[in-house]
Amino acid sequence: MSRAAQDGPPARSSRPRPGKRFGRAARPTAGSFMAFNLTPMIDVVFNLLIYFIVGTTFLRAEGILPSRMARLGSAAGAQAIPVTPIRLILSQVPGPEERIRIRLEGSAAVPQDFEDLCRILINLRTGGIGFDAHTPVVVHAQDQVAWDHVVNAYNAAKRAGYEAINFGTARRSE
Amino acid sequence: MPPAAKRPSHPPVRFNVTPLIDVVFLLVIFFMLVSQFSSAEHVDLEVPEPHQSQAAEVAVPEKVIINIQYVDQDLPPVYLLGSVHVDELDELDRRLRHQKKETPNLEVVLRADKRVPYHYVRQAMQIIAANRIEVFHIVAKPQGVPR
Repeated sequence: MSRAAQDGPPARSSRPRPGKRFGRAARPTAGSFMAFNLTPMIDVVFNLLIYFIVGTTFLRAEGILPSRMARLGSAAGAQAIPVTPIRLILSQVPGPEERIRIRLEGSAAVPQDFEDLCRILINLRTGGIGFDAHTPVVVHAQDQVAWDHVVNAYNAAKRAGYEAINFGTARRSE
Repeated sequence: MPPAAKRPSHPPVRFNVTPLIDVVFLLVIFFMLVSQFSSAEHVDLEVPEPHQSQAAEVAVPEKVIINIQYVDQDLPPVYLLGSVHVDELDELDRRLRHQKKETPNLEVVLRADKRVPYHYVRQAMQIIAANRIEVFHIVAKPQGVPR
């Protein structure tokens, strides 16, 4: 019996072989080929898709029109020189269609729509007849006028460059 | 000489990141869905769409939202303070007064359905004024948003 056979199989060396490091991927051998595993990528893409689909429902395209309540009975108000406000009056035209009438109190101008209203308000502000950006604009509307029209009137005054726009109570002439 | 015993091959250890990404994305989706509860005060309604809107997307720090919503077109609209349904205007007044006491610089965001008659919005405005809340914001669609 040879010596090698007596000793049995050679003991495993704990020392790593040169060029064979722990955790290193096996080198491609002849005949093997590289392939991309698309499954994880599809997983991630689907997750991204769900994320954006769910996320878009949270985006509410809403803005705000800042407003300020008219101060009543304040000390400053008592001292201030009274300014004639521009009063916009919105009323509902009787009939099956939800049409509204826009008027400016004390003015012969009759706006046909909110674009026209904005134009008239700009002319008032820049016409040199005593109105400016600080002139109060008060929006009065009939009870049944839809909120959309009231906001449209408010928006037209804001577009026309007025800074003090308020909402008024119902007027007898409405 | 007998052949040497075959060594057990060690598979290479690799860190698979994909399941981690999957789980993270699922967590993100979960928390986004849960956070819907916190935005519940934005109840579903059609806000006004002014022509050439001047409405801007601005964050209001100390705010309370009053929603005026149509649940049924044949019934009067309902008032909600945040997401809390308010049965009577007196209750809206009481709750608003309580919040104003807690937050002196309280601002009100008024979200009303565009079809609501002005009469209902005016009642809410009168309550806002009665509680000495000076600043309020009207919610409308900003410009450039498709109708």
